This record gives sequence, C-alpha cells and structure tokens, in this order.
Amino acid sequence: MIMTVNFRASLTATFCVAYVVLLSLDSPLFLYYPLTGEWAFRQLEGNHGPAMQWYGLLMGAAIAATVVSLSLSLLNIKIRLEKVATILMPVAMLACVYFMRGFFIY
Amino acid sequence: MTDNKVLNLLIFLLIFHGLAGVVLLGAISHQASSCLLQNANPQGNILRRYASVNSSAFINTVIISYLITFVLGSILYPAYRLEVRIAFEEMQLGWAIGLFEIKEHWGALGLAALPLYSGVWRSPEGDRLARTGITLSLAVIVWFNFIAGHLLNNYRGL
Repeated sequence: MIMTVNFRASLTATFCVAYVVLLSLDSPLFLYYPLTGEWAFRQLEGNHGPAMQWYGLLMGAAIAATVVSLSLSLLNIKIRLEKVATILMPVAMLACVYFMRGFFIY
Repeated sequence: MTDNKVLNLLIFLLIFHGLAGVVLLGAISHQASSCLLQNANPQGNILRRYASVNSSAFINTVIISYLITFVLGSILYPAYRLEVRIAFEEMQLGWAIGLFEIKEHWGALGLAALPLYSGVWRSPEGDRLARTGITLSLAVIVWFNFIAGHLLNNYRGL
C-alpha cells in the first residue's frame, strides 16, 4: 500500500537532493578507513590511511529519503512527484560532475 | 585468508561485477531504445528490430542486475581506494580519479532511481514521460559507469 508510485518518486527525488547537498557540504554521515577497517563519525587523527566518504554519503541520503518519504506518506500529503524526480535525476548527475570538476582542471 | 586468496577473490568479484554489468547494459539498452523509437517494428532495420521488444519484460532484469553490480562494486571499492587510487595519485592521473568519483556518485544516484523506475514501469498509471526520462537517465549512468570502469581497469586494475 505504502509503495505507491508517488512514495517511490519521493524516495528518488529526496535521495537525489540529499546526496547532492551532503556531497556539496562534504558531510558524509560517517567515514570508513579501509586500511584499518575502522568506521568513524569524524576524521580520525593519526595514521589510519585514507578515509572513504561514499558509504556515509549513501547512508545519509538513504536515511533522509526514507524519513521524508514516510512523512509525506503518513501525513497523506499528495504531491505528484514523478516528473519532479525524473527531472531531478539528471540535475543531480550534472551537479556531481560539477563538484568533481577539480579533478579535470589543472 | 592469505594475500593470494584475497587477490583471487577480488579478481573473481571484479569479473563477476563486469559480467553483471554486461547483463545490465544489454537490458537497459533494449528498454531505452524501445522508449525512444516508438515506431519500432520487428520487420524494420536493425535499430527498429533492436527496439521492438516488450520493454516491461526487462524490469526485473534491470533491477536485479543493477543491485548485483552495485553490491559487488561496493565490496570492491575499498580495494580500489587502497590499491588503485593511490597509484593514480602517484601517476598524477587526476582525470582518472575524477572519472571514478563521477562513476561512484552516479552509481549511487542510479540506485536511488530504481524505486521510481520500478514504480513507473509496473503501475498502469505510471507517467509515460517519467518512464522514458528515468529509463534514459539510468541508461546514461549504466553506459558511463561501464565504459569508465573498463577504461580505468585498463589503466590500473586491482
């Protein structure tokens, strides 16, 4: 019942927005240190090897998307989000490319 | 596990990751082309024949192969971060790191596209424009990630 097209669309739309916001703010929910296998909510001091943000970005955006979509659904707010989510997807993709431009410009 | 066993496991996972990507690429390309070529017909030229498929038959294949590819990629990612990215940094291949960064972010967005993709294809009231739009976005992500992955693996594999 809850997995209507609109609920799914709000999941997609909110995830895109949350992911881009977290990426732009450089604020993953947590970090993973593959060298030592440690998970941390903040940058660890000392020699722990490189930190990975991606899992934290994914989890942060997924939690935001689930909370917002469930809230919209439980509050019975009916906004047609299919087209919005469809447009947000390429916009979020372009935003990611924009944030990564530093790797291509020397 | 010994280093050798870990390496063998990583290579196996990488090959499986690539094969799942091939399945995904085939399924999403058929579906995307059938969305674009509305007058596809099995008697037409090769493009029209390629597009003249029952698009809804590909939904489960796309979702399952995307999830498999994504999960395998997530498992392999720490090895890339330690073994490959550091080598790219030493070789001063900033563009290669950038390509992988875009690949990982687009991969995450593609995962987020799956609920809407599944919804608009399965529901009879699914908007046709939304169906075409989300399928094309997913196709762009899959093609880009496939090519970028292979290109980077050719430069410096695991």
